[in-house]
Amino acid sequence: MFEGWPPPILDPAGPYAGSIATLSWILFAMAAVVMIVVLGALYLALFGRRTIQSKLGGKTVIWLGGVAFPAVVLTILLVYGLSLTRHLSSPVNGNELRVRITGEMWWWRVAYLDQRGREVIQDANELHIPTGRPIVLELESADVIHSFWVPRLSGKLDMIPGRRNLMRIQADAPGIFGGQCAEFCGGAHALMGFTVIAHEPARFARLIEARRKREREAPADGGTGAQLFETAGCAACHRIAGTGANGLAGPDLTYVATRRTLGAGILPNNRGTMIGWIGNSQAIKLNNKMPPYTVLSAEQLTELAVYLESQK
Amino acid sequence: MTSETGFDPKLYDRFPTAEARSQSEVEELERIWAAPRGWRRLTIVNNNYVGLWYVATAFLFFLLAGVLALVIRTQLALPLLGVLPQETYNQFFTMHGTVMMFLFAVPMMEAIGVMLLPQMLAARDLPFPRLSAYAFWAYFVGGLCFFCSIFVGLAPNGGWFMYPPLTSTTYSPGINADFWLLGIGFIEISAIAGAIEILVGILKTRAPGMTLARMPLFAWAMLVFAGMILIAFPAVILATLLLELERALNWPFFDATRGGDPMLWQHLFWFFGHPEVYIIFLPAAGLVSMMVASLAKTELVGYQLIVLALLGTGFLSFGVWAHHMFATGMPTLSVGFFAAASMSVSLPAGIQVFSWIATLAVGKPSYNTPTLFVVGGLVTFVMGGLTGVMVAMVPFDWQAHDTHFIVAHLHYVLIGGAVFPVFAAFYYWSGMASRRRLSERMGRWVFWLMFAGMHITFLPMHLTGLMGMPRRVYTYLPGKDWEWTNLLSTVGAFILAAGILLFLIDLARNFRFTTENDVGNLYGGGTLEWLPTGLYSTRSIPVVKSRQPLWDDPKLARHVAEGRYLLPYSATGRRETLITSPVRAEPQYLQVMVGPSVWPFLGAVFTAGFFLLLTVQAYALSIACLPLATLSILRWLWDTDRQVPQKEVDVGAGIMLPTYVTGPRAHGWWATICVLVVAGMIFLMAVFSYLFVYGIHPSFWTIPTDRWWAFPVAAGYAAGASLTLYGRHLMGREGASKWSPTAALLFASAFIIASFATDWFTWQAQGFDPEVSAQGAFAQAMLALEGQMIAVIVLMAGYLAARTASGLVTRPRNTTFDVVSLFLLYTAAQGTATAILLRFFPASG
Amino acid sequence: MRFWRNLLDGLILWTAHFFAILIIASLWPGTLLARILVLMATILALAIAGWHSMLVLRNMRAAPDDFTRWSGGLALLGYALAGTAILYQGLPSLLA
Repeated sequence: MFEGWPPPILDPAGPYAGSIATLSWILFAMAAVVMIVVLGALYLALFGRRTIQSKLGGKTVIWLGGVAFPAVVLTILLVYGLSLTRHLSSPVNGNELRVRITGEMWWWRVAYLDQRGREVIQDANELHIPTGRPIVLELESADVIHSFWVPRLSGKLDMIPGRRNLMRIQADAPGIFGGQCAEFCGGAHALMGFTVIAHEPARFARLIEARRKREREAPADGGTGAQLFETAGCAACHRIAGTGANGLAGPDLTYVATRRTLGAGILPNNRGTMIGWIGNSQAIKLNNKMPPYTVLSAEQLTELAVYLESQK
Repeated sequence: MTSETGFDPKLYDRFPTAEARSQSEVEELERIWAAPRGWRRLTIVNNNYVGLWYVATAFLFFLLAGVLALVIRTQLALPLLGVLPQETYNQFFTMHGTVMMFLFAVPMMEAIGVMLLPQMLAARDLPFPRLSAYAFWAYFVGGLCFFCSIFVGLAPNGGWFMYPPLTSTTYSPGINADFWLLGIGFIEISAIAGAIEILVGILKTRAPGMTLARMPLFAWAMLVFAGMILIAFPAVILATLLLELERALNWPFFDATRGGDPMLWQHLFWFFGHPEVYIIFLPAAGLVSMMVASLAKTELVGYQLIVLALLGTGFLSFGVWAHHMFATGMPTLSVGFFAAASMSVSLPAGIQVFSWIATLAVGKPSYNTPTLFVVGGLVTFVMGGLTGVMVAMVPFDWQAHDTHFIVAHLHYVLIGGAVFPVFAAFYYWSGMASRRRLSERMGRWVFWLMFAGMHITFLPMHLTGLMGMPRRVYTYLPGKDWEWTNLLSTVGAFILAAGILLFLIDLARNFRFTTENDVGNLYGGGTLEWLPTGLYSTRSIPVVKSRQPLWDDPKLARHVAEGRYLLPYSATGRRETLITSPVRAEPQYLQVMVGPSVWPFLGAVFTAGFFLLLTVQAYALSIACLPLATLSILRWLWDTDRQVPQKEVDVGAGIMLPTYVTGPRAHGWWATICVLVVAGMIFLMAVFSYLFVYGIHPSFWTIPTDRWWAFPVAAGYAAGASLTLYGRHLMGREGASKWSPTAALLFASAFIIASFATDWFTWQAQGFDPEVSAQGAFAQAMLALEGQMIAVIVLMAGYLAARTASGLVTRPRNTTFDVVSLFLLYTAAQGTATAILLRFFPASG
Repeated sequence: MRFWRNLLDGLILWTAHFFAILIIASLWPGTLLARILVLMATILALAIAGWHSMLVLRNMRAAPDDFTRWSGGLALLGYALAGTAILYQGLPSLLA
């Protein structure tokens, strides 16, 4: 998760967020200057000497302060803002790494695409990227409108049913960057977090290679936990690559053990929280689609948690 | 001097008249304008009462929505608090926004308009007093019932912006969303009624000589306000209509899987939603412009520039709606246009701010409560404006959008730009309606508590947003450093609330409503509302020669009270007011007004009943309300448009004016045009929606067969229109019989209805199922819109026939006849456009 | 009506220009053609604004009374504001 200080908008970790942070500082400076001018004029109008007041009290002041001054400031800002907008949304090359992220109520489906646009690795609520190069995110929605936002990497962009929005992010150095859904999407909108992890390119290549391999081959036998996963109904909604679990309604759990958080960015990922989540996620994140499993015993929950701990 | 109407301005020199007038004239005015008492108060239509009720109700909603805000702030004070559970929180923040915007801000401005405008313009009342009463009661009943939904957990929970698909049946199956769609849709109708009243009132009932260049700036602001409502509100009315149809009948306007588009809602909603912000700000700015001049005891510097600013904002604010949608992935070129317009709309705001500062510099403002609120509002508004410029910068908005930074920004703009000015206005104008003045000492406390509370709440909130906290979240996790700013904001909210509580105590102790013995002009204002008044407004209607007549002519008040100006009596023995020309305010005729009636009240109750019962799915009762509402409204209208025996009357000093006119000179004609503008805008928005969705998902659309049906349909409508024109021609002809013009209009209606029926049935034969594709749904909706007009035509035709039978359709001209023929012509035009649109777009696959 | 048209002509011109370029940008999204058309529309609108302002100014000189002068001045200011806004509106075709 990210922390609030320094404010992530002003603490960019890549070029896309970086140019916006620069813009922000310029805007703050502009606001400060204008505010000083207005407050100064107001102060003189109310408490200034009579001679100054009579100078302030004419149409000329309106033309200078209310028309010319704002017009100059606004024109400069507009030219700068438009150029920056163009720069930030210039067309993509087509050879970047592409990841499709689909907003769902209230989590994120993540699919890494190959050069031909096929989904090759499935994941959820976490995105691994290499440092030093732009990544293109294809943003889509499965239900209502969501908005994808990782402030230290880029501004936000909406995920709209029936449309596909393209967004670019880039991290300059390895790190972990938090984000959260920014468009009100009903019920548990407040609890829809996201994590981006940036790796050195070599490390990222190894990670992807390992995962592509994992997608192709079946895992070792999971024991009673694996059986329970199928019999208790987990497999109806969740997928674990290479096993009988092929459900698509919920987050893919093939790499669940590698995730930093549970419940889309709201709990740390450990055995205790996993047991709590499976037992009664409704008490943690009301209205999420996963039913409470209060019928399972403590032992069964532990077995499931242990099984999931091996999914990486 | 040039004249607008042929009226000779030299006649003004006859005033003030020399001879003394009798006291019996005042007694007659008092008798005619006396307000009913007891239970019959419900029949009151006079603006002094209706205006105050209206202001009080709007203020009640301000308090209610404010309480919601306090609970919201309590919940957010610390991470993971359980004051408001998730679902309740979502209802609370939706209601806070909805109530503040729709039930407080816009109605409050209309309410102040209804209360102040007649006095400011020296009219005896607004031109359609029963319409004001209807608008008020509809708002009162509808608003309170709507608010009560929160007590039973059925309040809307999709945000005040109600974005589909979250608000579609799939994701919002309960009736919560219907409460919003039907409740707010209905309150918008009330707002439009009020806007028409205000627009016509400003253009047609000003005191003689009050040219547009001498009009009080509040009147200018309200003129632009009313015009903007007529253009902006139809968009949201259409949007709510479409979404309600989608929910009730499964027509996929916004459903991307069947060719609809959720972005359509956003365009329609913000086409209304952003002008809405200026609709709230402009009247408040008008109030400030007037107060600044009085408080500084000097003429406002830059009157003309402020009029430019008001008009400019009125236009430019229609080019900024998509800056709420910068993060939706629109093409950069279009985004650039909206960013540019958002920049240019700041220019008028700058003009107003510096004009106020210049006026304060020229004059000698004293340290009192209204001055404090005006200056405090100015500072706050400028800060909000600056963050507004920031978020108009597209890349910055990509970060700030939908975070608490925006929450802070909008509260700075709205509290600084509207709430503080309204409080200043409460203090400044309370002398008009109260026997005792509000406490100055407490007032200063009220200001400083509210000002401090406001900034403690919202200044840190900018930082909360920059630290990454999104809006509309019912809680947040610990460990993000969001606790401190949030806690501070919560403390500030309670300080703000303490200020408002103190204001309530002051009101309870000192505000005593009166229409006669008010404390009067506490701050030395120079405009006409400070003339001595009774329920009939001023004794006589002055001739206006400057912008601050009371300052420029110290004897004016005495002369007006002595009846030395126009209309010092009732010329016809009924309620009446002077109608003047829209530009130069030259006397045109004497309007005879209708008095108290229970029908506007009943009409409003039944209209509210229809919408609210529909929401709670009590269909039988709801349908039963519809004819009752219609009958009540027709019954109220039945009393209107009557001629008095005196064809011409002396309005003072021998100036003779007619008592009945029609056509563009008549106030009724202007109101009809306003209604048709609203209808036309709804239709235009529907056409836009149709083409927009076709442009987004053309693959879902097919070309209709049998396209030639458009021609017979259009020909039928054209025949109806021609017959209407022929009827108008017959109206003016001496030889035509009593029934022949009406008969022409009835035949015209028959042609129009038959054309619609042809259009409808031939379209149904095409087999476009409205549940299957957006094309079918939109076609059906366009036909339904025309069907609505047809229903109105049927009612009007019956009404006109009834009036003809009762001998009320006077020759050679008659307002009712005019109104019906204008509606017929409009309906024929809209019908023709519908038939052609459906069959020829899409033109090719 | 003529009075209102004269008074609001500048702002009406802005409205016409704004919606025209919006339609252009929607009909040919992301193309050079759209940019060129927007630029041409902007130059045309500015030319009209300049030419009309001259006419208003000439009429103002011949104004028979204060009010006509006042409303003429307001119309002129309207053109100035609209002209600035139109100029801003044209910038995206070059920059965005």
